[in-house]
Amino acid sequence: MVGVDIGGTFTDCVAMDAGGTMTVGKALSTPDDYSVGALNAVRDAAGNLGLRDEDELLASARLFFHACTIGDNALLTGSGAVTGLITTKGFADTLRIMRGRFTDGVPESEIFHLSRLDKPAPMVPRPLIKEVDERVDYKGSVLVRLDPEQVARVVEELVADGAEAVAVSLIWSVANEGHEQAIAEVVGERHPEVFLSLSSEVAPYLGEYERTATTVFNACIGPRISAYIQRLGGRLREHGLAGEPLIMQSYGGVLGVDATARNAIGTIESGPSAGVTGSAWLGRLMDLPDILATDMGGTTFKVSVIRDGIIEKDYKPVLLRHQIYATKIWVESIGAGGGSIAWTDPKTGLLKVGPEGAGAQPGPACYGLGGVEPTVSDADLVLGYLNPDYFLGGRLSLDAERARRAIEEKVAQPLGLSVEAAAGGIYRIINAHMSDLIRRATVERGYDPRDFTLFAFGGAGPVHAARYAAELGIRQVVVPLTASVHSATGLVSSDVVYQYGKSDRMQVPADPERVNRAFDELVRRARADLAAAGFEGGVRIERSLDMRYRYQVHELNVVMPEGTEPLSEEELGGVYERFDDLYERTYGRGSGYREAGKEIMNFRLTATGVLDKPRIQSYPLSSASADAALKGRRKVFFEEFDAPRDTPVYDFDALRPGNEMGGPAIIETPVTTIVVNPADRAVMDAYRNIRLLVGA
Amino acid sequence: MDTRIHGVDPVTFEILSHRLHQVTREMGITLERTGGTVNTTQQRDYMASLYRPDGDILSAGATLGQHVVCASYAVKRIIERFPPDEIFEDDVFLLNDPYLAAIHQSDIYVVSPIHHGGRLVAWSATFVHVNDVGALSPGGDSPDATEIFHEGLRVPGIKLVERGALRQDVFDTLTNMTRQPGMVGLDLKCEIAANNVAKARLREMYAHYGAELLDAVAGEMIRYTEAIFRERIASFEDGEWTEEMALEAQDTWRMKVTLRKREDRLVFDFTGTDPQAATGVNLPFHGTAGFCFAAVLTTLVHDLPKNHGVIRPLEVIAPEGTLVNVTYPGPVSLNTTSCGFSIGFLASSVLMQMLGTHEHWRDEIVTPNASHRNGKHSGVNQSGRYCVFNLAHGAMDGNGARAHADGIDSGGNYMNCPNAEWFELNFPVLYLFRRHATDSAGPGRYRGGLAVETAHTPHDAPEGRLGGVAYGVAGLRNSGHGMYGGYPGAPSVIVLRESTRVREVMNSDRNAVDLDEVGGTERVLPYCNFEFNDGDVLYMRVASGGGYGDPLTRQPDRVRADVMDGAVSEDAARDIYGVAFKPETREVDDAATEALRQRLGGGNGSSREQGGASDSVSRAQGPESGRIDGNKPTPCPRCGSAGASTGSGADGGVERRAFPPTEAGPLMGDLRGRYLLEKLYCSSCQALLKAHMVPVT
Repeated sequence: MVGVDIGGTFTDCVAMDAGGTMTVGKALSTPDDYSVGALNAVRDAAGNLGLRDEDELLASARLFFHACTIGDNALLTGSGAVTGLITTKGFADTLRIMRGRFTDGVPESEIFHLSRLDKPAPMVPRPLIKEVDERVDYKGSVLVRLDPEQVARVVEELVADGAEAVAVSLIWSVANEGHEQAIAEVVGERHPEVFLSLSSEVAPYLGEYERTATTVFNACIGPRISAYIQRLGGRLREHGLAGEPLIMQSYGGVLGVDATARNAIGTIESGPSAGVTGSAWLGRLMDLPDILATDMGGTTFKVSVIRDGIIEKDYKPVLLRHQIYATKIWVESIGAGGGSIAWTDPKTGLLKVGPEGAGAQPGPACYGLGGVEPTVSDADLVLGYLNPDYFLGGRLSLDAERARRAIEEKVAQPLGLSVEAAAGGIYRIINAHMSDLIRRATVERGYDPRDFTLFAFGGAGPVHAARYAAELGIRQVVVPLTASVHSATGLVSSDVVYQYGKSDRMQVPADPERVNRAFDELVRRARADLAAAGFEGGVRIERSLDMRYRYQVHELNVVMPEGTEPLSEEELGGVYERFDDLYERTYGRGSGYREAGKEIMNFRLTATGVLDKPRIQSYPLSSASADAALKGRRKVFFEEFDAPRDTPVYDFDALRPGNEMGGPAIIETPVTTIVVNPADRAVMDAYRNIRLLVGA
Repeated sequence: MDTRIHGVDPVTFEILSHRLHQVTREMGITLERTGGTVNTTQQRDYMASLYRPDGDILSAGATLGQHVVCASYAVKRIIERFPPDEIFEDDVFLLNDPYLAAIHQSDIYVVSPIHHGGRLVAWSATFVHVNDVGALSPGGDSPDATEIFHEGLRVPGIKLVERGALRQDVFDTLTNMTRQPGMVGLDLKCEIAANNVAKARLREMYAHYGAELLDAVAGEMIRYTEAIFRERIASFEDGEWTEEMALEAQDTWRMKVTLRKREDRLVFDFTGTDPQAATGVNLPFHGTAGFCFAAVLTTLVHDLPKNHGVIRPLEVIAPEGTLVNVTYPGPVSLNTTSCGFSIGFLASSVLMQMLGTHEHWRDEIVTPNASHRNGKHSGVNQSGRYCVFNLAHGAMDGNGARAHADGIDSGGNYMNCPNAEWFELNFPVLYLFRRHATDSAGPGRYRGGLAVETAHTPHDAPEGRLGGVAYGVAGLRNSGHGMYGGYPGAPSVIVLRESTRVREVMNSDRNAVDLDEVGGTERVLPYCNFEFNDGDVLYMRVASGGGYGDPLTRQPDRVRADVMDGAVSEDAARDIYGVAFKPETREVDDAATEALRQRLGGGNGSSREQGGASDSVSRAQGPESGRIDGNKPTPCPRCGSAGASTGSGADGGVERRAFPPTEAGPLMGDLRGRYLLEKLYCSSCQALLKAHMVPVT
């Protein structure tokens, strides 16, 4: 099977054979037409496999997985489709009003700066928002009937104004989708070329603002995604692929071309989601069910949580400062990375790191590309963690003198510290920010970080991971072999996953028949979609309910036990108790209040068509001695010691499974540097992952 | 004062202060996720902070600044009431007495001591606005209350949790005194949960870093915030600025503030404010201090750690027995959204005037907003349950214009309004519309933010009716005030239309979005209880932002964009902004615009001046004499004439002219006969210096 992940700079390809051996291909991404870069990456992998060309690899591929950033790019650069919005008369301003508050996605440090805050730019210009007479109430009863002729007039106006896509979001379409369907018919008859996005299909959940925002985003990127994956599918067929590409979704799972085109919003941030999916898969192979997947790149640090092998989901993510309704792998992030800038506040003499970053251009001072601000990478270099002559496997040489000078001028002198002490301060502060974020991702949700294994991805991650792990009492850090292509690896480990859901508020105790009926409708749709995708056996269906105490707005997702289809009254009672337990686990003992009454808000269903996956190849363990891989020694600063330590440096490529290294030590790989702290130990495992045993 | 950190290495300091901030943030999220009332779960009408062992503020978290101060009073009152040997580890206290620390009884403060190694090292405190406190009117705000005893349960300090065990008897007693025990129970539980979060996190920090280090960090945080704040104050020239404001309902209640800036101190002096009222608009002293603190938070100290260091350079003078320092047993239940918001406005207004005198800080100006009206309903909902609900529309206020940009449309005040669908799911109402109100924003070179206007009608109410309470900042001079020639925003109003044709309109397949068509008898509501029957419609418009700078200097293209967006009507574009469009293309007609602006500008506006207008009203009287803003002669920004206010007569080099209120926009019609738009022009060059509403004498 073949997986291709398109990133900002590079397109990665991972080809895995039936024996579990992985071969990697890389090519530059081609923003004019990403499918070109995708094929180039496949050709590179084919070459590494000794095949004639990409056609030979594609012809032999059983499955082709793909993650693209078409939608993300369209939104970020404002190059999405010209989108019109049709909504209920009296509610045209819903998107702009945003329920008043607009600071989601604004850095905490900016929130109080009243004179500098703004709402995000409107997604749809006001003249392209059209109102129609119609009204449905909370029960789904029609209070004002829809006039198809009025709809036709409005549609013609939108098309005349250049709309390529039309989003339809009516008040209470979640209780009665009839009017949205009727509008769809009018659009379909008159302008079948227009991309349609209906709120009752894209986000059938209560709350007109979030539902409208989701529907509009979907409309905006839909035509772009649709055109791209169809073009890609065509090219792949020309080059010998038998089936259709399977496209990664942001909730971790793939879908076929048609299903993806219908729900384009699902592709947003799907590349990183593939990475987390890969972490869960690796975790299963390694028998590690509880994982914190962390990714420290140039500007952003992200963490996702995998608990009991299940990836935590977010049902109300923030996209471009708008709250939306879409199922996505849950990610906490802050502006912290190798490029984060260190600065001093002249008034207080305090050392600050981030949230501003140096970006790719000019980048850290040590890149020698004109950057003069000291960054985390500059500190890492001064401390001896990075090798100036072997950064990214030697593809970039680092200028230690520039790094020192930047830290000296901007941090050490103002604070009256030595350059090394200043670098050590930068290193400690950024690590503390990252451990604070992981604390937020675990402790705040009722998890104990010490129960987890931490996976470290991203170029800067393994330089810092053992420190931010130690701060939280985490005992094991894994740097996967596939860290540099982890999204592409995640792709080939994915299953076909459909997500369904709907708001249907029921007071507890609910009528079991009504509950089962609501689930049955979702199950029917799921079975039909899975059958259409060619799945007969190997299907998993998971039902869950979003529940809350009466009048609350934040729900908790309670999974239905297996074998309870349909749910009996008693089983439903058990579900209510599970909600109480989950509530207290999440918010603390004594926080629940059963007397307030409970309600069911949303029905959700995840349908998985399981794809056969080879086991990743493992190797026999050799001796513990890593001496054969010792490539040199250098002076390295560790906070445990006052003076720099003469520290062994190992070549990752020369390490053998079973090799062990006591700290302090440095392991250099072609893509990153792994720092083994004095109190820690490192082992290469049977899959050639490096495991850091913290404090062992 | 030395602003540098001492005694703690700067790296450790940064790490620990970051973590302390995370604690208050997490407390706030806990309140939001586990609370009951919409104020907590959606509106962000809550507060979560940490305090020093003596009750001084250690770290002010989200969200409402006034309550950060009042909770500091709450901690101090608990310390006074309970001897040290009766404050145990894992105790949780509750207090809501406005005569001790709360602003009104709906504000429930929950306060917990935090111990480490047997020693009390800190306090945590939260506030939420609970849904009901058993007052005269459902929901707490009680227009008919004339003394504190009408306004519900009042707890001077009680243990809700003792040594970690919930005192169920106390809990049940409290919820038993409310109309909504289930929801209030959740409200109390969320406060306990948030305080438990603080306790757990702080104990972990103390265990990890030790008391000595953490105490040193806490002390330094407060010290350096104070030092920098004082340095900033000192960078302004000494001066004095005043502002006035009145609530107008069944009575008129005037408030006045003078801000005196002396060296590194700020004194907010409310001398001149009216005696306290027999209606519950009165604020206790700590509430007045709290609203002043909140005004400072988003201006002079927006970027500093928020703690007691912000309080120390401030002094608040509020004469006893007045609206801003009520004496027992005066009623208070309506106060936060009436006098409270007014004080917020007064304090912001004088601060903004002060910012205007400083080259660096001038750019931080946001024209002040005196806030909105709001409403509550109570009654049986479609599920057959009795309920009380707050319409929470204030979160959609238009924000004031800025020195460099328009105000934010429906920007609110860090608060959040639930979706219309959420209201309709839980309560028996139907929204007819929820939209930006055209021409609501105060015109200006930079215009204010637009207000949201809504209308709703009872729907599926089993009893065919609901109760209602109207509250908030009453009067027509609420909303945003302009600065430097920017006009005020449209007033916030709450209007009841009884016996309308709303159902007939909808039955004829049209949405009822035109209130003229909906009809009914109209009543602008003061502070009152009202009946809301099937067929009635309640129209609400929240506050609009005031403008900044003369609207005749706004870029014509921006006016055109506003017209396209429906923010500004074509009439207002022509009459207020002086922008003319070409009839065919709807593009700006540059020549016609230039001519129109010439005609409307400066001394040439006399044709519309009040004397020549149809309403015959006598000359307007402004609150200031011989000043534009503040105490100092403000040189004219256009011609630089310093004579603008140095003249010996009352008006000096300023020419005052009065216009009908609708000169500031079509939504100002309600002010007719009661207010005039007074414009102050530079007598040398006719630049517009100030435009404001003044009462007719």
